[in-house]
Amino acid sequence: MSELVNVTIDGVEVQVPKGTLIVEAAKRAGTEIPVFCYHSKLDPVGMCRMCLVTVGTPVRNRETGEFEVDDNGKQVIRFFPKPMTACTTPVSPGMVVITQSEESIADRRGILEFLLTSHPLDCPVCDKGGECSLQDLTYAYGPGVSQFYLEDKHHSPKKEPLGDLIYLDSERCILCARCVRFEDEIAGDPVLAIDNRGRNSKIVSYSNPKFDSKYSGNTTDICPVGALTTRDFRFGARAWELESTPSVCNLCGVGCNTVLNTRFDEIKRVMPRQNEALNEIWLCDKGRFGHHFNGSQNRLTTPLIKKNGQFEAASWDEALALVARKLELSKEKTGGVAGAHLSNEDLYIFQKLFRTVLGSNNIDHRIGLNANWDDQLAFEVGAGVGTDIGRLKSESAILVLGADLDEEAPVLYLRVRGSARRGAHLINAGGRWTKLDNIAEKSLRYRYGAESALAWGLVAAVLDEGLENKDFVAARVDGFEGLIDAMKSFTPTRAAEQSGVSEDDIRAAARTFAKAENGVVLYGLESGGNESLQAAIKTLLLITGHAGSANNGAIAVLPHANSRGAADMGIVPNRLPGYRPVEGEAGLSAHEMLSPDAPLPALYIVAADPAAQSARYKAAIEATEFVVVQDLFMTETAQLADVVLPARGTAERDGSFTSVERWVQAFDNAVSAPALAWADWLAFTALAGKMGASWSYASADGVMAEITQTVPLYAEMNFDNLTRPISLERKMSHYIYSGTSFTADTREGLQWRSVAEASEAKMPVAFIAPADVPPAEGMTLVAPRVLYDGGTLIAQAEVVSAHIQPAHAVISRKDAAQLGITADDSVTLTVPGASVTVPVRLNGLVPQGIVLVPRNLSGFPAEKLLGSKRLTAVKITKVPVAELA
Amino acid sequence: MIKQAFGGTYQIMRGMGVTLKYLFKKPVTNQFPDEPVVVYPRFRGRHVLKRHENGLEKCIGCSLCAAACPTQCIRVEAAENTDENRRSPGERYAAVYEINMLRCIFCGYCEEACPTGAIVLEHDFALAEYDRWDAIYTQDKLLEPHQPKYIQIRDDEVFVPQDTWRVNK
Amino acid sequence: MANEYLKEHILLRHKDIPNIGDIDVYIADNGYVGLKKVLESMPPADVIETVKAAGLRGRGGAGFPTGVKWSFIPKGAKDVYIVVNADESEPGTFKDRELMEYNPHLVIEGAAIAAYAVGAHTIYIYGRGEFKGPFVTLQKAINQAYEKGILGENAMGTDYALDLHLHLGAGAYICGEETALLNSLEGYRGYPRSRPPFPAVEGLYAKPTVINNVETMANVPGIIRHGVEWYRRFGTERSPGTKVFCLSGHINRPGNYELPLGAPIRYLIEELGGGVPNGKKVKAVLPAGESSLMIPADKLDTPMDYESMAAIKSMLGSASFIVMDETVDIVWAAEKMIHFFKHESCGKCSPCREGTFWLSKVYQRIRSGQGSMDDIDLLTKIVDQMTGNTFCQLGEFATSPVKASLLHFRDEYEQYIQK
Repeated sequence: MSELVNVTIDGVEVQVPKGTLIVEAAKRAGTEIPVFCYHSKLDPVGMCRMCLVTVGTPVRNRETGEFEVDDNGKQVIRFFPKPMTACTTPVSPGMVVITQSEESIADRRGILEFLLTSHPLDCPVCDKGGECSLQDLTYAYGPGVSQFYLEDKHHSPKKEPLGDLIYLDSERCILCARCVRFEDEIAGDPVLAIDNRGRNSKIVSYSNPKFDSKYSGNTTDICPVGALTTRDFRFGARAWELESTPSVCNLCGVGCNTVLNTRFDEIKRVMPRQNEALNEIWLCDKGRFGHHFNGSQNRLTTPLIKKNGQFEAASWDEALALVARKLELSKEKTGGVAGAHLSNEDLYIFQKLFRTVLGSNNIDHRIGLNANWDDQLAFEVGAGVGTDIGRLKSESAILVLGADLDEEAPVLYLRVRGSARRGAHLINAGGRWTKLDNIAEKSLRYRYGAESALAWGLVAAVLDEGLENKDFVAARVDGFEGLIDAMKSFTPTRAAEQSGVSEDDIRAAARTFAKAENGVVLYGLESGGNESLQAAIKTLLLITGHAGSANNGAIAVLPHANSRGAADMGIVPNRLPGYRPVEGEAGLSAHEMLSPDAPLPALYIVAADPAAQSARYKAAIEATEFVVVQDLFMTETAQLADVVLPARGTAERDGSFTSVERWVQAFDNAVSAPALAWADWLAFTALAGKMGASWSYASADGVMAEITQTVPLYAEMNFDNLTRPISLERKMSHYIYSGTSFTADTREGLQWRSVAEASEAKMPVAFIAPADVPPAEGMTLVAPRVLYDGGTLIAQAEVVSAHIQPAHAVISRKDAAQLGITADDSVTLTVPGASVTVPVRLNGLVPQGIVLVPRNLSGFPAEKLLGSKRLTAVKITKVPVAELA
Repeated sequence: MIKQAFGGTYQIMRGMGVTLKYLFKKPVTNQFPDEPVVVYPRFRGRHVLKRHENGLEKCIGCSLCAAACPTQCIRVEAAENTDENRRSPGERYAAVYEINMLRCIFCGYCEEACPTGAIVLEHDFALAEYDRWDAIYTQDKLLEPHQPKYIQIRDDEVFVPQDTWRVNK
Repeated sequence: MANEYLKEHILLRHKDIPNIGDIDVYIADNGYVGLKKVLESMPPADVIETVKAAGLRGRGGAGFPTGVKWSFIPKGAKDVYIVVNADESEPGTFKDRELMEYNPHLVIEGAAIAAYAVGAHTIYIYGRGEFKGPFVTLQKAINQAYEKGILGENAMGTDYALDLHLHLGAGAYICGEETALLNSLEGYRGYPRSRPPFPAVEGLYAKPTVINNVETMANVPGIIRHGVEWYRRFGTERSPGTKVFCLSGHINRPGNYELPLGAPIRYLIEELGGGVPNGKKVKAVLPAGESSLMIPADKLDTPMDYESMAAIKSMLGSASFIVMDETVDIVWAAEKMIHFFKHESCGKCSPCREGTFWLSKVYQRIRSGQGSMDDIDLLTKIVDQMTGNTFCQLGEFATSPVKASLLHFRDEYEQYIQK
């Protein structure tokens, strides 16, 4: 805790940490100082001059240094001759602030009158009307009548697209530069700027495409006027007409809290819901605009049964009876694939259906390129409860390994970036340049495939330099001596040879990480996440003592909204819910189930589209005798099914997700679903009923009640706890009163404790030698993830679907020059057994010898080439122009 | 007895006298709807959505009437004008404008809230419908012109609204 | 003899020795003696003490004691920068330009001494975008200094490294404000920064930085060369030294004149400037370009020093005297000045951005004969709403033409309205 300072604000004495700005201190004193340009998430600038207050400081005697007192024993206060901006002035001991002095009130009236001279006063048609700072503060402080002559008004264009998602109305703009500062400071995308000067100043974007940022929607939230508005909400509704339902974003694993604003049973917009522990007040554009799939015309509306190759509408009863009859035949040979967008309740019931009713362990949530990643690290040494990745102190270290956070988990990127910006040591290890490298203290560039070698190299360097946390090792680590012995042959030098990172860099990174007070490791898709890597990260965390407490541990940046929950709920062939191993033999993984050589008699595929991903999966599904698909849309897999069941989207039901940081969070039902669409857990329960089970779950709430009983990790996670409003104290501590209001007064969710936290027992460490991957001859294919990919849901969301990237390959300019490829060309990528032709993009930041083909794009080129492998050697040939025509 | 008989006759005569008197007076009964009904200028009756002189709608779809409405009988959904399809001046127009006349209490708050003078409570009072659903007046029904012949406005009381806006000095 | 008050020029020495722009001529005239002296024999603290004792005040306008400014640099700070403010954008000011063009070595020597005093090894001279010409001359002088070993790795043969870079802005009045200048120098928008942190703590590239005007730097070598006693012989007790006065407007002989501080305005205008052409009378004088409050003709006997000018509710500032004769329409002049400030407002803070815009609209109305008496009050109100509330001094300065013209020449406004 830093030093506290006493200040008096409007007669109320408060104690605040030294360096607090007056405007923040005033919140503690219960006073609201009006602001436009100031935002507690941004650096103060003092541009709008709205927050002018009268400030005085106690007079010190020059000789003694004591505060001078008057005859009544009161401190003598000397007031500054000019008003001070509360947003840029930090408090000092004994400071006296008067926010309601006559001068301040007159100043505010003046500033508002100035701002309104160039503001169009078109509140009735403005999307911000009703939640607009300028409107609110004009009512509170403004002059009733303007002395400004109407015909002198400055006019600018009314509606200009600043990017394709955001409109700018420069007449309404009061030039507070919040948007510019957000993009510079928080997002690290300096794509906005102020052009020209004085009255002609204007917000512009010179990037190509314009406003090229994944976080552009946030600028509309923090805009204090209606200058920036979103395309999809334009004239959608007035702010006061909207109903708000708390929800959780289902488009990536971060678990951003959202508010679904609905009107007439239609989602009008999605707003971030303030949760300082998770997404603060931010939301990426995918989360904000990706909800439009809900209202899509292409939704499945009724169960379908295929008769003579044609789908025919059926009742649920009919469809489930058929499914029950067929699954009775296949029983323990049935295979189940459940996508990780499903809620915890769905997944729990799904595995219960398979394990108890069918007696099958053939269930999995990982298909395609994620098939080999089974994260247990977070279960063992997950970042401790209370970890705040966005507010790590400068004594902390963050190691990002093989994760392009900006694309995979955008809001997590914002938070990691925020910590790094405020001084935390960020080490970004990756096979290629990612956006975090812009702010990383150290970038480690390894050779693809050598992630584990690098991670073990860090362990080796820590051991070699004797930097291990000896107390922690003695208390909590088992097998440390064995580790030292096993690692004798694996020196930092050897790690450097294997990984392609210089030994000095490995040692420096290890030193930074080991010496830091707190250490967090985030590892992601591109790291592969194999057993050796997980062991290395676990070892690194344990020997440096960065485990078992808040702000220490690992975060697995898993791909989907509930990938964490799927692992927790045992949607893997070898584990039951709560990471308990299955009794007896493990079942088949998704990759094994979807094998055309040995097809299963029946498959139940929920919220997944394996047929679109590869020919192999498609062949396997075609070869399977009976296939049930449960989804929102008629996917490619659904077309091959015998029975198709319509499911509900996240907004149309309640349930809970578990985020990558292990936050379990409940979401509510906001809009109604197509009449015959059912929540997934309900379908499973009904099916179990048809097969003789007598389950009586009335709601998702009821399912969760059972989970709390059967899964110890989730013992606290009943809906009462998950939906409990956050405390007033916590709410007030981060209260933001300017800009679009953020619904902060709702639930926060709960985190479950990893093994390292839950017990004091010693944890074993063991060296698993990393596979030695020699530098590849020729080109290596890597499949990174991009934010705007062709997922089933996002492809149906009309506003952002234009952002979905077409299939393409990215190679370095140097390789392109050698191969004679230009930016307009297409290339054919060939691996044994498969070949695809895609347009090529050139990028100077891609390392030589690497071909990037993003996963999950239309046509699934990466999946077709890689199968379930992570990397592969690939032959790249330029397509002759004649062939393309 | 005679007195009684005369008394009865007198009463009848008196009664007939009244009848006789009114026989020659102008009748007060209004032959609605054949004859117009006279109402005061500030009578608050059925709503009308006004137009500008050039035919464009005054309503900009701002929903302030709906916000002011104490019975929540107004529903507005806005949309954006394009150069090809221009319904009102400016950027925004009401794509849907409905008033549920069964709920409306004719308080006139909507008129007061309207920033463009688009919604005005005029003088029509004949709002009976055969179907409850028809009582939800839609935009095409509400838009000008709506001048029923059976209404005549008294012109002896003239209301001049004070222009409270300060426009140029 | 330069003039009645000064035997020979100190700053404008090229008026006495025409070729002093050449390094050999400069060295022959005791040039770089001061720098040699400090580098070889004076500890930095002594240099600061000497400048403090001499009472040199910043010549950019604010008149802040230079020695005190230097002493704000934290002791033992690494990477200290010296920035010379050559963004001479005030209308009617052209003294820095003449100094840089004709006596560049004096400026270089001054900056070098300042650098040594605060422990800086890098000097930036930031000039306005229009100073391409003067900077060519200045660059030649700098090259000469490098050739002679005065600048470089071993300045004057000692082991003290000194580097001097020139930087041209894009031409904005606001970049004369020291923090906006720093932003511009770093490649950002010319927006002033909020203080604290002051440049002496966090200036250029977030390092301690001293920013001084060209003329301030030109004063330093003399102090070191001849000593405090000599320097204090010129000027007044609280405003010692000489100053270059820029004279323009309705005047027979416009130009730069060097005078000790404290000489009366009348001497500058009538004796040195040769009075107003065609025998007209002086109506008003702008003592520091457009940012100062104008002085009516009856105050011309005021001594030109910081205190006396403040006493008549104006300021000495950069001492660029613009003379307006009796034919000048004050409302017209005020409108022109407001137009200038509207054009140059950076737009960062709302009072200045909107206030100058609004003022210019009101002036347009008054001048076109559409105004009313209310408009005169409105001008006062707008000015009141701006005063004290703006981010930097530009917004404050923008109110001076209105304030002063209304104070001294209100009747001219009324005539416009009654017309």
